[in-house]
Amino acid sequence: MKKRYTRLLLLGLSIMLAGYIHAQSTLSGLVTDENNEAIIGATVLLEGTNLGTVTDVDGKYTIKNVPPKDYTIKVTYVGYKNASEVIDLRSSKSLNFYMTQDSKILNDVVVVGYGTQRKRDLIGSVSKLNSDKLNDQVGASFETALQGKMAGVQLTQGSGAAGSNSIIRIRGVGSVSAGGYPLVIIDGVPISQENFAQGATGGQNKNPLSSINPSDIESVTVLKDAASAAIYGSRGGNGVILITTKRGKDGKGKLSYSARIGISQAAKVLRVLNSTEWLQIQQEAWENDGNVGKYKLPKDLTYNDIAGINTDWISKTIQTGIKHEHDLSYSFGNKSVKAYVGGSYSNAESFLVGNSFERLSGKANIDIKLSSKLTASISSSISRGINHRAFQAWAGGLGLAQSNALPIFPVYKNEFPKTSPLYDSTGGYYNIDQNPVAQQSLNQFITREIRYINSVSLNFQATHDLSFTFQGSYDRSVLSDFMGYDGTQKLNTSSTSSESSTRINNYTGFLTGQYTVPIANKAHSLTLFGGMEYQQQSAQNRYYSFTGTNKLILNDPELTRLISDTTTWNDNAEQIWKFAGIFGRINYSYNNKYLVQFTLRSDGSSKFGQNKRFGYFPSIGLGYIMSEEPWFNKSGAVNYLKLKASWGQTGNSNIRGQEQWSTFTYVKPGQSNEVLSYNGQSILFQQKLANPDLQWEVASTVEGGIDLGLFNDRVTTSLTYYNKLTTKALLLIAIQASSGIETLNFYSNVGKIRNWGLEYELNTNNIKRKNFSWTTSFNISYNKNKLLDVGTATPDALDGGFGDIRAILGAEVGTNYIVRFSHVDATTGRPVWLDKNGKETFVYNVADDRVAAGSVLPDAVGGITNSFQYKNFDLSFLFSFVIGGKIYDDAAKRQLGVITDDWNYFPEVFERWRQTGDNASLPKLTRTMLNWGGNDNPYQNNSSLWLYDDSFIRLRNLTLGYNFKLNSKFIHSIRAYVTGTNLFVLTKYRGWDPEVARDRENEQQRNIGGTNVTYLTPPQERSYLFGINVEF
Amino acid sequence: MKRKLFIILNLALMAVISSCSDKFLEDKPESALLPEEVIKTKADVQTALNGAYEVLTYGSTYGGQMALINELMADGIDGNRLGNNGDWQAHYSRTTDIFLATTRTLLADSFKAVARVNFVLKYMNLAKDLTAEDKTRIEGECKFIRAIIHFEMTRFFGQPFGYKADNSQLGIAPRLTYGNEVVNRATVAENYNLVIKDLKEAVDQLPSSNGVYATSWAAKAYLAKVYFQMNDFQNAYNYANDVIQNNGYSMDADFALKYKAGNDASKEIIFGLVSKDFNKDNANVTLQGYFRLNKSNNTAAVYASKTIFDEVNVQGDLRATTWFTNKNGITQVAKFDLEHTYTTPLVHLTEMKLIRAESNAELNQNLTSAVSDINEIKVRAGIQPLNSDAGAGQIISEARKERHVELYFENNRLHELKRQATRGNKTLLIRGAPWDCPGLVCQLPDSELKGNPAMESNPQGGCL
Repeated sequence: MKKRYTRLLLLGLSIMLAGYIHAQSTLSGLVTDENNEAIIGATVLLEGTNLGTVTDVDGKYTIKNVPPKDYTIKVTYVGYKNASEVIDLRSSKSLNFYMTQDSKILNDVVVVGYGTQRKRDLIGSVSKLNSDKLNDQVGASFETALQGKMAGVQLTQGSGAAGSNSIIRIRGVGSVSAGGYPLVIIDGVPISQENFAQGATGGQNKNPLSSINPSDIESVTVLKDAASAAIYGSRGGNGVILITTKRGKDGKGKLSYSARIGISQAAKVLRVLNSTEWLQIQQEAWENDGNVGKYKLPKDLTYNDIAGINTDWISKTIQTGIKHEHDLSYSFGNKSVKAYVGGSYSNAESFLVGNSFERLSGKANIDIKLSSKLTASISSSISRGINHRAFQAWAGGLGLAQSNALPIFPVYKNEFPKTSPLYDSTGGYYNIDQNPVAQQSLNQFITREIRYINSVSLNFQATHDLSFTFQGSYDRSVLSDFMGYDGTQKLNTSSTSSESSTRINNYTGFLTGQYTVPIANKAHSLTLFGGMEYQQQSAQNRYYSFTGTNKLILNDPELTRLISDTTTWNDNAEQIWKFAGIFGRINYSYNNKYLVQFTLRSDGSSKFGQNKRFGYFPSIGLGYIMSEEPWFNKSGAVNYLKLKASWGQTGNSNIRGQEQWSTFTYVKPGQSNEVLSYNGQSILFQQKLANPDLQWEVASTVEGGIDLGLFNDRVTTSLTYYNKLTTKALLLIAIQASSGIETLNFYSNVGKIRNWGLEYELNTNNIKRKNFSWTTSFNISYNKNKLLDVGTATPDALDGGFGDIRAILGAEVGTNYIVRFSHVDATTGRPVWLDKNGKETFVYNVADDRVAAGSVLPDAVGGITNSFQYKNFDLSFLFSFVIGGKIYDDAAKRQLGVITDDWNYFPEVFERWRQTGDNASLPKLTRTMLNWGGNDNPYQNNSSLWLYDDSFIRLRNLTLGYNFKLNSKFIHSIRAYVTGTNLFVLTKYRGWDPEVARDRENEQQRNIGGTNVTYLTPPQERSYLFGINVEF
Repeated sequence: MKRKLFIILNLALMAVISSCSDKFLEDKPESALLPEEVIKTKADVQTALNGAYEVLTYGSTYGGQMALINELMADGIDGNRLGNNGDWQAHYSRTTDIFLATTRTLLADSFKAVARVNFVLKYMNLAKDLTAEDKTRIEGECKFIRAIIHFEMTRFFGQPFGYKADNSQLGIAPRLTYGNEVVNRATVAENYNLVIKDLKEAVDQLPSSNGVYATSWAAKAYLAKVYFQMNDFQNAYNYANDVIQNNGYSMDADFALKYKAGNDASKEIIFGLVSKDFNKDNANVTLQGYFRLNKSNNTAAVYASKTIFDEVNVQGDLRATTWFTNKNGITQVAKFDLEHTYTTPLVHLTEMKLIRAESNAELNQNLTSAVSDINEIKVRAGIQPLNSDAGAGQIISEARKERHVELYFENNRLHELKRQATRGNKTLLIRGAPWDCPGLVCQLPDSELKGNPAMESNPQGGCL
């Protein structure tokens, strides 16, 4: 018996031993996510052993030679909750894992240059906005919706006028004379934005983005830092805006209809003096200057003529505008075809009489799977924008109503008393030059834009690891400014019409390839990406102008042109530029914990001089996801922690083409410019000197940041520091006028600008219950701008346009360079100025005493959005804010300054000095500028007296919605909502609106004086909208 | 394998791009030319030179603004009827600052003429078919134009010659070469030396007859003007006398002919700027625009002052009714009220006679000739001649009066009053302001200052 037991034991031992040595088990399985998609690269570990592996491209794993016993298997993957299960390997050989994301936000896919990345893998600073957040105003251009929503992005909407431009600044002003706007790319097509630079006809800059239909946009991504923008090389320096339009998705067809209707008002309406007040002010100034008797009325009017006349011109130039918008789209997707087709119409009147923006657009995105490896995509959009312009600011309309249109002037001559010789019972406009009602009625001013953006792309998935993408695109826009004046009807003078039309053809082609390097050790991941791109743009302007007695049909520019005798266009020289670039990107990660990205682009451009045509733009980025360390306790307060740092160089080349060439002007008698001939003989002269060393600006950015997820991502937050040094900044260097050179400036790469700042974002999920939720998003960005080098440029050489705004060495790009006002002298009532040394003086001397008295750049900008959901209701509101910075009211020197016959005044003019001892805020009224201590030109009276603090917070958007839950087969969902925009603003600024981007003539003026200098610029719009979205 | 393919493909494309990109990125527009490509023949040089004359006709230069600023800052314009033109107002009140459009265009445009002649001087040798004779003449024309612009600019932007004994007051940045180099201001003494040097060389190099273009007589007449401005009466007399005696021009029987072009053109213009047709060239239209009535609403841009009208409107002076129309105390200037074309005189025989007469009187010599020079002008205007035994003092005062009237709106008055002040009348007031107050000198515009940080601006104001 004992023997038997011993034998059995030996047998058993030998079996066990054999099993241990020879019968090791193999464990295999599949790791998938919630959507049953394979998870590649997940780590599978047998706890308590050193056995483990990483899942392959199909999400499968196999671990061989495992002794069969009980194990705890742990699967980890970045961004997913750890999974673990116990298995008895003696009985089971396979185990599948199903992983759930531990952070939805971090697994978002973000569009980056020429591709996409998961947000968690990002090293660069990228902000993204989805379509539902993009469309808060009807008729406004898409970029206006960025305000207050992204750290590091400052969006200043021009005004409330329909078709108004915006100024987009990503991390401050990085350019002085070259365009400071970001590169805008729609589905891979870098679109033309040249129209920004087309001058300021009618008192407004045009918006080159306004014909893009916001409803077609799926998401807007902004690349802010060098690590992400360097792939765009010489054009990424001021940031890149990537727009992705909607595409078809898998699933059965979905028809969506949405409509909005609402009204537009001025966010604020100011009042100017009425007749009685105006005459009182004039009389006081008249007597102060030593005149006796009654003030002599302008235009030889008598007091009898104006008896009873009190015209409120402002109310005659503003209105309640009606807006409506309709969008219809259809999308579907199956195995071989995915498509999105949309059409949209909107007509948005603004609060300015005669002002509206009408947009009609169509969009089709079709993706066709030609084979398992080849996908073709066609994207096409066409849009037409018709902007009925209202003259504004200095050009008329509301600007005229508060300046030269006097309350003592009637609109029509039959408003004069019957006893007045000016009375005319048949009506007729009085004094058209100062009569905005007449001007509005007699003029037509229409800006039309037609824009097509078309692209074809092919994606070839050569192998699982290797793919190629080719895209060719054609972006064409034709923008026409039409102006017509009808003098034939009421005035029996001639009519005029003119049109300036610019067509831009922009071709781009790129070829990219991406290769995921297969590495045996799955802890390593390496992706190589490379490509080349070529772009060519030609822009040609043509114009005509006509004067004659033909009866013109002014609301139809085409017909008018045909009726006008001169149907021939005059062509301006074509402007062409070309870019060619080669670029590459390497992404490496180890254990999904350590991330490295390296990019390099080489760009060449026809815009630059023969000596400096090519350049290289590298970047390197490092990321460390600390929360992936085994020792990191993810179940603590902090569940996600990423540190990142990067350095890179990007360029900026936003100047016109052909600046580097010497050009000549040759005038022959008989040519259209023959007025320049002399003695009937030809002339010639050099127009511009050659500039062969012209090159792009280089922005070198160092950046570091931390991303945190707290309380299981209930709170996500990030803090980023950046320091962007722009060297070789393009400055328009002034040439001394006495050189006699025709073009008195040239671009020189001598500038140096630093922008450094902090960006902070905080998203919290405050309450998350079944019937009630509350989330908050907050962002604030601080930016400090400093101009470090200007070469030999004096402050006046770096001129931001009217309002004495300059780029000053050692101060900001956007410095108020003005004489400082001290106080009103209590004894004489005269203004007391400070000279450059701070000494008080009565003498106002612009040549000697202007100093950097303020900056229009804010210290910080940001926004806070709160969203609530209660049952089927949702409510959200956005406050956007600006802290610090000044605003210069360039018209205040007239509206509160010296008294003249041809301006109206704000009621604050009554705060003037009247008698000895008065501590008044404004000087004694006078009709002569000389009493202000300077020259005799009332427009030459810029000083810090008109400089105000610009800090403000505005309720930018408030939306209350209701989602109907339907059980209908026909209608899938209905949402109805009301939106209010710009409901109120809190500010100390006394003028129309603290947010202003006034009309400017060129890029330098837009960079330096684009924002926060106002000259009769209209206020922002307040709108109330009702909207409905229906999905079928 | 596929990885290799990818790399090879990329390398190949890179090679393609880098090999041809220099060319396809060149993209040189048609108008992009270097001087070597533009100046090839004598005709090209002439065309470039003609461009310099064209500048002189600009409304911002001799075509209007020089004359206007002279009258605005002195006493020729009715200041109550300047409308809303802030720039003109600033000149009128002698408070010009650095931001005026008028001074910007006055300086920048005038110097365009200098740049264009300096361009010709620099590149004329590129034309292979220029003869030595051509070269001499062209150089002379270039120096003439350069000199007269330097002269005008020095007078507008610096205190007058004689303001300091050594004339070390700052004048303008003279331009003797073509290019965008930074140049600092020279003294008025240096400016005048350059002007005289250029004019003297021009006298030697220019032919005595040269169509409508500059001649040696024009250079001599300008030398007379320059020396007269300097109160150097001997030299002024010498050149004026030479021109009058030897040049072959004759006084117009009718003073009104002075601006006329075409068949009945003036015979006394030594150098002027011609217009073929207002619709076909820019010549002088602005000058005309300032004064000529807008026929539709019967208003003009500027009106003559009471000072000038009182000066002319005596003894039935024909010029009071030919050159002016006076209604209800408002005086319009009819001097330039001509159709289609006319000539802007820069220097003419009348002025030479006035210089000779006054210089003779100042030198106390040839008083008979001086009287007859003045009487020629007075008789033509239908007013009482001077007695033949008039003394030097009376001759001087009458010469100045006739100069005031004849050269009204001819780029004269402000400079003339300052000359009179530097000629021993240190208390002279120009429309109430001391002749040497800073505001009576135009401020250098920002366009000149901002190109050169070392540039010194003119002081402001001080004339109230």
